[in-house]
Amino acid sequence: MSESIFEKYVLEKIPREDDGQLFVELYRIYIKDGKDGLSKHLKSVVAQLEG
Amino acid sequence: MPYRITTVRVNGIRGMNKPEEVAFSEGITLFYGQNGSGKSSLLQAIEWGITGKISYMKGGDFTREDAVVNLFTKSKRGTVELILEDATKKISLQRTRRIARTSSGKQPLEMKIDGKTISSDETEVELEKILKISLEGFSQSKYLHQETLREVLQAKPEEKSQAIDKLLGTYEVRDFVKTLDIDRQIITSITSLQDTIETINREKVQFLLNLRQSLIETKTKLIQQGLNEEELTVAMTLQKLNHSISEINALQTKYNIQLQNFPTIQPNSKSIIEIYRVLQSQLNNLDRARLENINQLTQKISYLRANSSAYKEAKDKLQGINEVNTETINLKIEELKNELNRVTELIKTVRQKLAILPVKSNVYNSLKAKLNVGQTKLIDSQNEYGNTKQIQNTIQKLSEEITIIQNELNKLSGQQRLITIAIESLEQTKAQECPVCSHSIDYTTLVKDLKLKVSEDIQRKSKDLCELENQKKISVRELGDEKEKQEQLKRNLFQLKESLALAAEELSKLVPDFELQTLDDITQSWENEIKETSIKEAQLMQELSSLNILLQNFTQLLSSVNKLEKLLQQETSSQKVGAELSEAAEQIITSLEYNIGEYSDSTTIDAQRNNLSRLADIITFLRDEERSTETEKELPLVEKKIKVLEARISSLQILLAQLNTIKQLAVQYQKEAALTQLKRLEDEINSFYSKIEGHPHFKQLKIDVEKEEPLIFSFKAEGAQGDTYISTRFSTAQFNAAALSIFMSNSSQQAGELPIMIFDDPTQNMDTAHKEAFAKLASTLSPKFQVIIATEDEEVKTFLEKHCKKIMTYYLGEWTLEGPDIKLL
Repeated sequence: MSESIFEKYVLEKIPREDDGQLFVELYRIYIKDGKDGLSKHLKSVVAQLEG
Repeated sequence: MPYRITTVRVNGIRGMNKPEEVAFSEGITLFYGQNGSGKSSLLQAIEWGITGKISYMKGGDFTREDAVVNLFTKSKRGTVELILEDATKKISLQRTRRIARTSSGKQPLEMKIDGKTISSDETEVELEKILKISLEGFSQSKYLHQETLREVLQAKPEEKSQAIDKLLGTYEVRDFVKTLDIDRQIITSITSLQDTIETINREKVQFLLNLRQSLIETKTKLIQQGLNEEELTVAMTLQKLNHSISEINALQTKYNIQLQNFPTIQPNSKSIIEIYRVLQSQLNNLDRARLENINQLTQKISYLRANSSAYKEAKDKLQGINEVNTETINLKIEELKNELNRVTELIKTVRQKLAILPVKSNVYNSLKAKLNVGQTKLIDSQNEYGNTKQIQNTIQKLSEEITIIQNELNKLSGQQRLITIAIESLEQTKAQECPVCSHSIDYTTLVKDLKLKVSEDIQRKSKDLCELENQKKISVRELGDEKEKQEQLKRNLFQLKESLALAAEELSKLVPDFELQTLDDITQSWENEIKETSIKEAQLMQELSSLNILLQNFTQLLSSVNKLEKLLQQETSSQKVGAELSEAAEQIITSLEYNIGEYSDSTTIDAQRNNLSRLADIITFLRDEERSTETEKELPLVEKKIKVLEARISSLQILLAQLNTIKQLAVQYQKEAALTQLKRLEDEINSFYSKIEGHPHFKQLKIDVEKEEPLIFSFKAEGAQGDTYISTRFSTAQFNAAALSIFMSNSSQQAGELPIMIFDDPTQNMDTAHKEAFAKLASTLSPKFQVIIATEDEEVKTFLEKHCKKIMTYYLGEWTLEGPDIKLL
């Protein structure tokens, strides 16, 4: 069972398209940059939204 | 036939810092050596060569240094080359990395197959196709890390479940979900934004409402106090302030006080408030200066009055004593000093005499006593023996008598010799008749008589004369001694007389008629003299002191008059003296008193104070009115800002919801995937478990989901009479066996075209029996699987070598800077 199955699983079940887009974005960051990269990205997103 | 790893070449990766080439067995390849000898480094090199990553080297300290490339390698780069072979083909995989500042970052894989070299982003995809495996899943399905095993054996439920995920190949999803768990951070941000909105509302909107209400109330109050609406304007207030400024400027001129200038007035509340404050300050400064002036003038009047009065008094006194002139006092003082010196000297002399007198008197008396004793002794001697002349005569007489006795003795001695000769002659001759008278004699009788009578008589007489002679000689000697004694006494007496005369002379110098008075009388007389003279001395000193004081007072008074005169002349700016000077001082005092009267009038200042006081409420009203207008202007901007903040909150809430949706679905997937995987592996897990000699009663393993978010697995064993939690019933060796079973079952499922199982320290908590069981099981894996094992356990090595037909054992010696020493045994 690979992550691609996981990706497919989530995208099939996720109710909103934009949630799905966010998932794909975050998961790809995780695959590419690992846990630290995703964590850094999320912090940056929250900080940007907080202003 | 699937692929096998046949050769691995490593250089500069992990603990390998020199080129190493290791050939692999088709069956089991065993790396045996002590802890830290480089066994795990070799296995990690294989993992890195295939996947480009090393598990457990993420985050934390691994972001601060490169843990992949060997620190001591000279080329500063690491390379791994793997040769994979099946029956017909050979694949060469190579990955190279330069040393970096962090352990992260992935280097491309170069693959050579069928004489072609593939080196692109698609190389790994191609390899996955050939080997029919997921490279991402390689680390979980083919490589049992010692860390994973340790987590299963020792960690808490969540970490244990995490390790199970790793064994099942579902760990990445768990890690992804955990990373998405930033709810607390988002909620903190939302709360912070909400606080900001609340603060803005409170500071602007609520402030404006309060201000408006306050304005209405103040206006009503001011109108009730008698003001009309025209007076509540900036123009009217400015007019009033300008009036106050004119009044204060006039007072400055009147009091001759220079204060700071007023700022330029602008028609707004800020400028009005500034001017108002300056006015208040100026008014206070002016009033303070006015009171200070009054105080200074009052002090000056007191000063002048005191000095003028003192001048008058001193002048009067001086007039009274001016006749006594200082020269007279000085002459008198000189006389008194001389007299005092004389008296002091007299006292000193008498005291000295008083000290010497007893000494001198004692010397005199002692000499006198000695003289008397000497004289008495001389008289006594003379009375007894006569004077020296008489003694000399007696000695002369006695000497003559001694001479006579000595003559007598000589005569007797002659007679004695004659008789002796006669006796000798008679005895020789034996004469019958006397030779002289021829008378017949009996010589025998005659000799006998001569011997008896004549000799005895002569001897007796001689003895008597000798005694007499001795007596005379003693007398002569005694008299000689006495004579000498008298002469010595006379000499002593002469000396004593001379000393006495000297002592008498010295004493008579102290007391001329000392023989007429006693020592006590003289002492008493002198002490009286000292007493009387001391009284006189004290009187003289007192008189002298009085005169000195008088002179000092006189000098001081004169100085004081001169000083006061000079001071008053300075104050009055005149050269007058005496009464005229006092009169001039009085005129100045009158003038100063007039000035005080002028300063004492505070009517204008009080009036201005009242004006300013009345203006205070109006100014506050004007300021609030202006602020209200400004705040109203700002309101749209504030509302806009609040909307922006609300939009941000909304976005964060959406993000929170989105992340939660993703997390929920991910956990759902994780749960389903884990359960599916466990179901799929169930038989194989139990098969492996029973082969490594599991629990004697609980033969079957049952892993289930016990809790979600995070996903916690229950790890149970099934027996004929029910289930039990493994952690409560199993030994760590049995737990170790269970973990190995899960790994091997998953690995066999994920074998693809690379059926390989890599074990790093797989028997870390096993006893001898379990170790042997594992060795037997490992031997059965071959030839279906290629098995690579790293261990430091000699028992495991022995059992593997005993049970495995195809095994290559490498011994890794002590690790040095040169890298591990790998030897094929």
